[in-house]
This record gives sequence, C-alpha cells and structure tokens, in this order.
Amino acid sequence: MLLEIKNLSLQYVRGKKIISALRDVSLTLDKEETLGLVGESGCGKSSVAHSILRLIPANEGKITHGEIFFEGKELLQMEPEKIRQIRGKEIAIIFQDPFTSLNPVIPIGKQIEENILTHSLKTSSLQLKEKIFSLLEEVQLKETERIYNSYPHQISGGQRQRAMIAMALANRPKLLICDEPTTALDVTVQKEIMELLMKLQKNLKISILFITHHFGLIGLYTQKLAVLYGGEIVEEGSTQEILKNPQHPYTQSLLKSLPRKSFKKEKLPVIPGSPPDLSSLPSGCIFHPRCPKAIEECKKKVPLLRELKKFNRKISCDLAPFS
Amino acid sequence: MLKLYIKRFIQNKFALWGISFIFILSSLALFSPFIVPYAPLEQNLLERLQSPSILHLLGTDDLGRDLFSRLIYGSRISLTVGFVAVSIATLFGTFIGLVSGYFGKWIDSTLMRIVDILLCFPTFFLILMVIAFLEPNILNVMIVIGFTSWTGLARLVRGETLSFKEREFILAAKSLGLSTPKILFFHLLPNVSAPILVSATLGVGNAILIESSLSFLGLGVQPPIPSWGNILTTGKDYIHFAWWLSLFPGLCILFTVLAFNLLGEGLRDILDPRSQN
Repeated sequence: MLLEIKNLSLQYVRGKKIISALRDVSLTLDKEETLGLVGESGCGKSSVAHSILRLIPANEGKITHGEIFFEGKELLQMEPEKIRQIRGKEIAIIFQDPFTSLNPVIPIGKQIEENILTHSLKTSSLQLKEKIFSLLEEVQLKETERIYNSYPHQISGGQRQRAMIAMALANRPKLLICDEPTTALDVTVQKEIMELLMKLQKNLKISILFITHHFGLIGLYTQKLAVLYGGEIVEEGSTQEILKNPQHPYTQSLLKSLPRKSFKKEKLPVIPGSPPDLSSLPSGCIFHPRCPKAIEECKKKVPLLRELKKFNRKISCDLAPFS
Repeated sequence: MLKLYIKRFIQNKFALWGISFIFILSSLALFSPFIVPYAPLEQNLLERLQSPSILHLLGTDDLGRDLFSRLIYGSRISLTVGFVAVSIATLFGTFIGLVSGYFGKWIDSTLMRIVDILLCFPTFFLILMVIAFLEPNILNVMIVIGFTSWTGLARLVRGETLSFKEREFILAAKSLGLSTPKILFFHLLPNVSAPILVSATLGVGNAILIESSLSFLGLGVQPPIPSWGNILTTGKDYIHFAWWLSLFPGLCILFTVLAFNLLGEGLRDILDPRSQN
C-alpha cells in the first residue's frame, strides 16, 4: 500500500467558530492506482490533499487526530525538514488554476529548474537545460524553446497546466495529487490533459489521487472512488460499481442530478437544501436534513462507515442497502 | 516583458529626462580628472572670488579655487553617498520587510515595532544625533544615512509580501518542497522588486539631499574635500557679493535630486502592471 489515511480529523479555527472540516476520513491508495475523491464545494476535498502534504498553516487549522502513512512512514509527526524532502520528491500536487499556481514574474524554464535543483545535486547547466526540455516534451508541449523562455501569461491555459505537470513530475514522485486539475480549463483541453495524465501514469508507474466534482471524469479515469460529504466519507469502493449502483442516498441524489443527453426539456432533479454548516453539525446522520429516505431514527443515530459485502464497498448509511 | 518596459520607458518623457541627466552627471563624475580645467584643491589667492568668466567658467571661491572643477568633483561625493547609502538601506529594508511579512507572528510584531520607534524620530534629527557621536567623514555619512532610511522600504516590502505570500504559487512552491529561503528570495523577491526599484531611485535623491544638508551644517564631508553641501556653506558667507558661490552648487543639488525623482516617478508608472499599453 502506498498511501494510507487513518481516521483523519481536521479543524479550522475562524475567530470563535470551530469548523470541523474533516471527520474520521480514512482512505487507502495502492501503487499505480487512481483514486477519485469526489464531493461538492466545501466538503473538504482539498483539505485532504493539503493535509497529506502538511500544507495547512498552523494558525488556521489543526489536525486533531489521525495518521497518514506514506510507504509506511507517518507523515503527520514527521519533522518539517523531512516533510519538505517528501514534497515534490515523493508526493507532488497539481492545483486547479495553472495561472495562479505559477509565479507570474519568472520564466517557466527557470521555475522548473529551481524545482529540480531543490531535490537533486548540482548538475551542469547544459544537462539541466536538456532535462527540462525532455520534461516539456514528455508533457507533449511543442515549441519547447519558446515555452522554456516564456512567462506564464504568454502561454495558453492548457500549456500552463502541462508546464505545471512537467514541474510536478520533474523529480519522479510516486504519488501525484491532482486537485481539480482541469476545472479551470475548457472541455477539449480538459480531455487532453486527462489523457496526458493517464499516459504519464502508465509510463512512470505513479499513483494518482484525483480530486474533482466532475463525475464524468471520475468514471472515465479512476478505479476507486470515495464520495465525501460535509467532511465525511459516505461511500467508498470500486468506481464502476458505485456509478452503476450507488447505495448511499447522497451518491444516488448526486448522480440523479447530473444532466443527461436528452432532448426533452425537463427540470433537472436537485438535492434540496444546502451543504451542512461545518461549525454546527446536524444531529445524527450528517445528510439527514436533505435525505429523501431519512426516517426519524436518522436524526438521532450517527451512522458509522461499514462494510457492505454484497456490494463490495463501504458505506455510512444504516438504511442501506436499498435493493 | 523587458521589451514592453523599454517601450514604455522611451514613451515616458520625464523618466527619459531624469535618466539622461543622471547619465551625464555620472559620466562627468567618472571622468572628472580628464574634464576639470583646474585641480579642485588648487588655491590661487590672486584670483579670489572671481565672477564667472571664460577662464573660470563658474567663477572662483574665497581661496581662488575653480568652482566648476570643485562642483564636478563634488558630484563624485554626492553620487557615491547616494548610491552606497541607498544600497545599504535597500538591502536592509528588503530583508527586514520580507522576513517580517513572510513569517508574521512575533517576528513581524517585533520588527514592525522597531520600525515604528525609528519612524517616531524625524529622519534628519536622528541622523544628526547619530553623526554627532561619530567622526564626520564620508564613510560614516553613508552608513548613517543607509541605516536610518530603510524603514519606509521595510514597511512597503512587508505589505507586498503579506499579499503575495497568500497567492497560490507560493503554496505550489511549498508543495514542491522548496525551502523557505528559496521561497523568499526566488519566488517572493522578484514579485516585490518593482516597488523596491522605485523606492531605491527616489531614495538616491533623498540621500543626496541629506548628505548636502549634513555637509552644509559641517557634519558631513569635511573641507577641503569639495562637496556640494560644504561649497554652499562657503557661498553663504559671500552671498551678497559672490552670488555664483551659492547659486551653482544649489542648482547642482536641485537638478540632481529632481532627476532622480523624475526617474523614480517615471519608473513607478512604467512598472505599474495596471498602466495602459
């Protein structure tokens, strides 16, 4: 197992409010596997990613309990210097918006170079330049010479994201976290970037934690899926099985509310209400205020994530399985 | 990017005037031994207080020294003091500002309170106070001006750093394992370099003005070494019958400070990302 997150709980402090952003989140990721983490805005998807790399500023959030193992090493207790050597070298991350995640006043080539130098011994500048060019070619960028010398604003969004990927993969990490890598791009570019990621995953034998709110991409590109709602995992298992036959009412409602290919003009079903206020959680099951199947019991009893053998997955709903 | 800045620079008349003047002045200072008609310390008591003529372009002073030669040599002092003092202030202010803004918490509070305390004193008064305890020479003048004029820049850099450190590319750099010094100097510094450049340019003018004032008061560069400030001191005593002794050093200071200010203001417009074309 490459990555194992055990009972991760994270709280943010905003003035007097305590926001419990993640509660007992457990995930596992094997070598060369792609795990999709899906959920609506503010459900804690990015918090999971940032927790793995310990990027949550100490004055804003605190991991109250839990453990994260990467190749058997515990990340949360690790010394800052050691975690710095893991960042970018063992685990790398790509962010949503390739424009804001590149430094606007430094040419692309220089930024990649700095990143390579962080984790490797000094090499000759010629070798370094060659390495950067081969990285740029690897992410299928044409005109590598021009890209090398360009500032981020001089190249297109797709090119920027490719450059970001080149930078993230420069030191051959074992795990790549993609935090909504295609959300800021248009659909055709989105497809190209995803295909590129999958190709690179095969060639470089890396694992990918893919964070998104896009079920279409999840279905096409991931093997395992975890559905996050209000900071809790509500359903987890094989992607294809969950998409074919969702068992948790939240997953069911989400999939129902996806637009389909149809020429009929009809209203899209929506999930009533809004995501829970994480500073004052509802009693019982976190989804009960919006759940179409909720019964009186759901308001009192907190459901635990349990194995559902028949459907080969984990689920946190006491009423499941719904046949 | 550089091309755009050069284009804007050429379109900016004030900046062009400023840099032309500074360029000419710097050349004069650099090549002064080959330009001046007389040695700046050479006295000729027979030709005391001569008014401007072909022989002495800008006249002579009370000891018969050629004013034109002395002013040219004085520009060396002014420019040296300006650049060295500003270099000290810029290095120091930038470092303090970056560290203060990036680390925040008690480091920020401590450093900014020190800045507040220093800002309580009028800068010139502070310099006078410190220089009174030191031997008045050019080296001390540069150091004292340098170490008393970094506060404004430190605040400026701190403010810029505060806003830039929240940007996603800093998080991305951190996530790729870059060390804190690298984030500070490789990622943050280039982003705050434009205001630093503007502030440094304006600072040179200010440092020259302070040096002249100190020398005028007899606390800066000491005679017989010519400095625009101490030439003015002599001029003051003869102002009723040797106007050239006050006017020309005064004009030198005026135009030099003006040139640096024009260049600084020009750079501000040129480097402003919001300005048009």
